[in-house]
Amino acid sequence: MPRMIAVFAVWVVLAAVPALAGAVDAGHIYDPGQLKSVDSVLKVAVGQQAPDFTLPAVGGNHVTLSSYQGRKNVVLSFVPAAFTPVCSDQWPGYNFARELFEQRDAVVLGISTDNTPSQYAWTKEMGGLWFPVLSDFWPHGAVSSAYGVLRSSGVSERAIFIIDKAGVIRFIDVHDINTRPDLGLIVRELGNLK
Amino acid sequence: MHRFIALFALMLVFCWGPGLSWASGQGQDPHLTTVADLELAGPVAKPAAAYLGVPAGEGAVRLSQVKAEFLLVEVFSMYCPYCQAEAKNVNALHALLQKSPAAARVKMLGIGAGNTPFEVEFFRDKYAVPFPLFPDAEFACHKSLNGPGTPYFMLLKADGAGAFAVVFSHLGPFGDPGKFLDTMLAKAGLK
Repeated sequence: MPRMIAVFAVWVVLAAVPALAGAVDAGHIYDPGQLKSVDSVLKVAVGQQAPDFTLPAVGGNHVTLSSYQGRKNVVLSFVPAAFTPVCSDQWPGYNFARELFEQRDAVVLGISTDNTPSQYAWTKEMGGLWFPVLSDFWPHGAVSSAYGVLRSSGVSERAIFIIDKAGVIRFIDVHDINTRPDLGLIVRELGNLK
Repeated sequence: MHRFIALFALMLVFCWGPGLSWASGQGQDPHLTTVADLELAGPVAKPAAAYLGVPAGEGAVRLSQVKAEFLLVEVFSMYCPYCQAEAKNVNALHALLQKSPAAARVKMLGIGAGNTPFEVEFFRDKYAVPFPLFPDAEFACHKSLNGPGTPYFMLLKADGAGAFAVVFSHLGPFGDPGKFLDTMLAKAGLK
């Protein structure tokens, strides 16, 4: 009996390792390979009022961009797809750096064109995220299209839009889809907001 | 006894599948035997320069410039949850190394795979990492090392001609820092 208890204790320790928050099992990642860096034409510009939207969130609620006006700066983080290589560490990275956003009175809104069940499975495997994850699945890619970041394949670009408390776009980075935007640049741009 | 064996087998099935995540798919152990003279991106702060015996300043330095017989290199990423979870153990490993008789012969440094200087700095500050960390924003070092998963640990021995032999390597969390250090030092003939 003591040996069984010892084995069980070892098992508990081993089982805890893969349960780490933010760790998407590499075996569950689909690698699409190297893609065309940008495959869309931007439809908004810095200084313009951000197009408003309401999208369903993983939590079952709906999130409206304009509801943050007067309260929070907003970082819209469009990513191409759940369970793909760069996205699967970009958002856990924003979990790790949560205080950098909060210190600058900012919230992240994560958006992809995946449907909510896929996003649910993905974010659950990440160990949860502190910010809302929104589905731009239907009408397919409508918000991505309004911002001009919907690729011809039907997924979003990897793009960052920083929107101030007045709802005005202050920074845009339609990033190479194959690489991660620099967290430092996002933090610096948030720091530049009044 | 049969129930004990059955229970143990069941536990192995449950544990080993998902537990291989840093060693499968994206991140593999490249099983290198040698490492090129990697260029480590600057800037190099004065404390890091003093520890490694390299020039301080904005410029890059090469592994071969580090004044040490052995180099313990951690390849990590700010974005890697395993690296985040292992950070305290890695700090403890460095502390144990500094207290050991091998301290003068082994220097430790980290390379942030795909991490910008800001991201490396944030990781350093968040975990109070006491040894030098270098950004590798364009994955240049990481590619040169055949793209290991993270965290990845290598004990390198300088050959005096600008290349390095891999004395020991380990992919993923290492568990007890004392045992890990003992294993490495034994492999290097330092214990």
